[in-house]
Amino acid sequence: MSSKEKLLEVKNLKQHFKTGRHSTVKAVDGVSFDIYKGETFGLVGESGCGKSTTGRTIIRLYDATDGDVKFKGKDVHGKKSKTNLKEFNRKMQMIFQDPYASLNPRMTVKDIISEGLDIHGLVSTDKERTDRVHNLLETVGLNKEHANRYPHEFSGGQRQRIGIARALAVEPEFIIADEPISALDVSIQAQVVNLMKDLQKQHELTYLFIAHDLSMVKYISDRIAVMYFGKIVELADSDELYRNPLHPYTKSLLSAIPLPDPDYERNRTRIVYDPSKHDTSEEPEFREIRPNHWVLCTTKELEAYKQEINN
Amino acid sequence: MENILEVKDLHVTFDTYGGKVQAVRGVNFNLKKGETLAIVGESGSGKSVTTKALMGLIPKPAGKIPKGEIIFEGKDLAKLNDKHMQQIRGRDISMIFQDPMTSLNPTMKVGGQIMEGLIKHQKMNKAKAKDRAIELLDLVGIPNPKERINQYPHQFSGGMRQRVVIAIALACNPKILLADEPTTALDVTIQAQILELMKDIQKKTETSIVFITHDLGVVANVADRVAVMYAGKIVEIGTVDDIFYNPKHPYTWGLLGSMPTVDSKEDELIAIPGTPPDLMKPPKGDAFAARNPYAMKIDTEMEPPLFKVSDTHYAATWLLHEDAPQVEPPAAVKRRMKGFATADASDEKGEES
Amino acid sequence: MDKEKEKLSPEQFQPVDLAGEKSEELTRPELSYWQDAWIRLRKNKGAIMGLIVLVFIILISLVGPLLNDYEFDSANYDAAFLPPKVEGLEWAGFNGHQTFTVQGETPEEAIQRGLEGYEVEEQYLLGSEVVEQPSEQNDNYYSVDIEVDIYSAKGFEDEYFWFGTDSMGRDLWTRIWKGTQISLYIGLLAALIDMVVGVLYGGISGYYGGRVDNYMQRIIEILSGIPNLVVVILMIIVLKPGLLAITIALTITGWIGMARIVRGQTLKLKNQEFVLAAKTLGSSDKRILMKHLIPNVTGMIIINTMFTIPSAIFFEAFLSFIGLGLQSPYASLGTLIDTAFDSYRVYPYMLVYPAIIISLLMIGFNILADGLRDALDPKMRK
Repeated sequence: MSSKEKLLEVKNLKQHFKTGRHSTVKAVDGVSFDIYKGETFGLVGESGCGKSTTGRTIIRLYDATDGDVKFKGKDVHGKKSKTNLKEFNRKMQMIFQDPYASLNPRMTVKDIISEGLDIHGLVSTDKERTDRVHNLLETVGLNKEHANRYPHEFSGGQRQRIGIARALAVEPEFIIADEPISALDVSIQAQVVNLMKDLQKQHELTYLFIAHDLSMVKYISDRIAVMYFGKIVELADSDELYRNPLHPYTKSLLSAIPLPDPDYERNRTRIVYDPSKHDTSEEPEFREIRPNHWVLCTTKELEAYKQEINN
Repeated sequence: MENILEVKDLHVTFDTYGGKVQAVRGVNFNLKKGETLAIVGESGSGKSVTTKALMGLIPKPAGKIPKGEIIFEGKDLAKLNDKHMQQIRGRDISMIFQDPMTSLNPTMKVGGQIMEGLIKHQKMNKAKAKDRAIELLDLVGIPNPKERINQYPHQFSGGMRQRVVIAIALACNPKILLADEPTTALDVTIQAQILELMKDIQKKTETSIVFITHDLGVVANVADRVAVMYAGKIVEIGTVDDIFYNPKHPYTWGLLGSMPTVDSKEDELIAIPGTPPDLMKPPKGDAFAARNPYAMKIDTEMEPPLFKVSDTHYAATWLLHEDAPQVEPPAAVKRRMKGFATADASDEKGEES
Repeated sequence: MDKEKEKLSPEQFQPVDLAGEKSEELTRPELSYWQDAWIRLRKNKGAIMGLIVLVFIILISLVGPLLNDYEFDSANYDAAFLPPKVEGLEWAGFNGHQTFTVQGETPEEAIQRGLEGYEVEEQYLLGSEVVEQPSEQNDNYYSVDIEVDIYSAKGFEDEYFWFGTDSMGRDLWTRIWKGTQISLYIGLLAALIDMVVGVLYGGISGYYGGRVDNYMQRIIEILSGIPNLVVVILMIIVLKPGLLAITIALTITGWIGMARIVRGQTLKLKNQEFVLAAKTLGSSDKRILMKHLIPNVTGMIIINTMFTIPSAIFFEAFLSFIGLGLQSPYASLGTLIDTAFDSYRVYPYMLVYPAIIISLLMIGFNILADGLRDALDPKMRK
């Protein structure tokens, strides 16, 4: 894995929001991870853990309080010229959560999809523009008759595919998918996930997949990071994470997912996470337990985890 | 077991400016005492509307029940007037809504909201109602109920609020509890707690539960029986094992196939293509035909009746007709069906012990 | 079941491939937001009535003054106080006959004094009727209604003043429609100020937020703290009373309500995901404001404008009525009502027509605005 090219490097990213004169919310509090070219990196956690904020900060919807984000080795935060910014906007795109709020209700599907094309001047004639839009619609499994329609005429799944077409229009390399399926029905979720997988193969895309549904995340991701209160508590290959969860929070999260299997559900035992049981003798650090499996822990806990994983 | 509720050929329509929406198009089921019936389906399948009809909460005059009966204790709820319905609502049948943030009154103390129903339906005096409210908060697992009773909803977390909502629903010992996606707005760990709580309470109180959800994981966890709804109709109904280990309807196959299980890393998810039909103009024949890879000519001509699979299991698909070709369900579903025989056996053992 | 079985043939169980073809089809007709809103508006009978009345009034106000040869400001004292007279509509009361109520010790004396007092020769007396017998309350005088052909009496047999004339003999038909024009101008001006200043101010304040918003909102608070009437009176001290003063007064504070609404909507919209999506695509602020935010508040803007217009018209009428409005010879519906008000018992026609028109305008705009709110309000949309 490590021999692969790093596409995105996030180092010690912090995002603190002022909520009052003297109080701040540490939505993201020192998050570090790398995303390799061509992989899908899953970021999971419960509401309010800062996973969406992490995604939005990476793509510069928010200015980071502290930390570095490097995209293809270049720092993308801080002051940048307009042309550099535009270049960055093309390379990194986002798919949003709510298919009802993510499309402008006053624009036709064609105008929505071609917005990126217009901003970046990727097409010169109207004919070219229309062709490109029809092409993109086909890519996401819709047809060109849909181009002149308005978003409210589409179902949630169709809208989400329009959102994907909009992101694809500027030919990005990296897509942040911010809970792209959590607002969709089960049968539609699979459509969108399959589409995203296909597109990844065709266009060599890299995904940051943010979600709270762990079973879907495991299905789509190569590596998964678990977030809890603004910090990543565990990061590993997705199979490894599911087979050998080490951090007690990961364990509790995994044990809480209901699976569509009545027998399994009848025998399920839930593990409850109790944050007070952590070793508090020192500040926990992010440590590698075994290759590519990282856990937020203290030195004492590190030993315990190592033992646990070897048994 | 005796039936506590029988729904017969229920139809619900809504008049909108664009035309008449046939939200529920002939739903039949019964609810037995002490069981949990899960109704699964996508948004717009009519599952929520069905429960609203049971509660007499169909917004009038736009919504109508043109046909059908809802028999509860010898009365047809579909024909009761508002005044009689109010007596049943909250006392015999109560409801838990999806969003705990909006289903509580933010300007009223939690205790007061629980006591409201007690004072109205059970004619309790204030002191007695308060004792009962404390008891209820304790029952739903809220620590320090004596202090919490005097707090306002905003002082509770999301999970705790949903517990309060459940306490309100349970206040008058209802015979039927309708839960409309009660855990959808909650995080997984909180969801697991609430599901455990509901099962626990059901054991203690023998309440029958109708559980609306789109999450098959939740269904597997809570349900005794499952009804799968599509386009305003029940397309398959059976015990939880029937549905998960021996599904017969291609829509159920699709639903089960579209959810990843822990061991399904390699193969693609089975997505059901397309989108549900527009219920303003329901298609002729089987409403699922357009999305069904196993569609036959007859699906476009005639609606399939409910075919009997076993005493507990029915499915509305022409594939079960004797003339229909034998079709192979998708691989992921077949894997489940393999386990059916063994699951069945272990089940019986479980019941004996 | 059994019956059905008989009807079924094995051929009907042949598999067909439907999936993929029909499944993505959209069954509803292609409708834009505006078409959709228009369909809903059309179903609202009140709003359509309002719309028709408004269009009718606007058209006549433009065409009306051209339909006869009188000028709105050409005074002719001989023709003062002539009641409405329309050719061909004499039977409906538009006959130019004036009824005066006169008193005298005997009915005959009363009539005589009346004719002398109003300078009408006896041949033009058309009829008389005793309406009150002598009694203690009226100093033992008779009250008599006399109907006279005042047009002939004043020598205007061949003239037709459709709405009558005022105290200076100016044609009221022309003046009323000119006045309606002025009132509509005031309404449109208010709408324009709302649209331009209010929308931009609110949009910018809401979109940029933070410190910009803070300062812009303080300015609004100061402005809205000054009573409108005070502004107008100050204006009139500096300028002369008239259209300019009213225009400036409206400009200073008229847009505040709109600015607040647009700001609120913008604040709500700017964190919507479609705006974020535009940002991640690299949209400029101007593009986001013009393409994404303002089109989504258009519904609200239109509704609010439609409510602004009648209140501005009424504000002008109110100013005119208390004497702060337009000055003679210019007329607005407000000034017309004001002058008519002094003698409405003798010359009611002077009051009736402008009053009816201003009422129709107010009701028309309000009903239409109400209908538009129902048609455009996104909350009603599914």
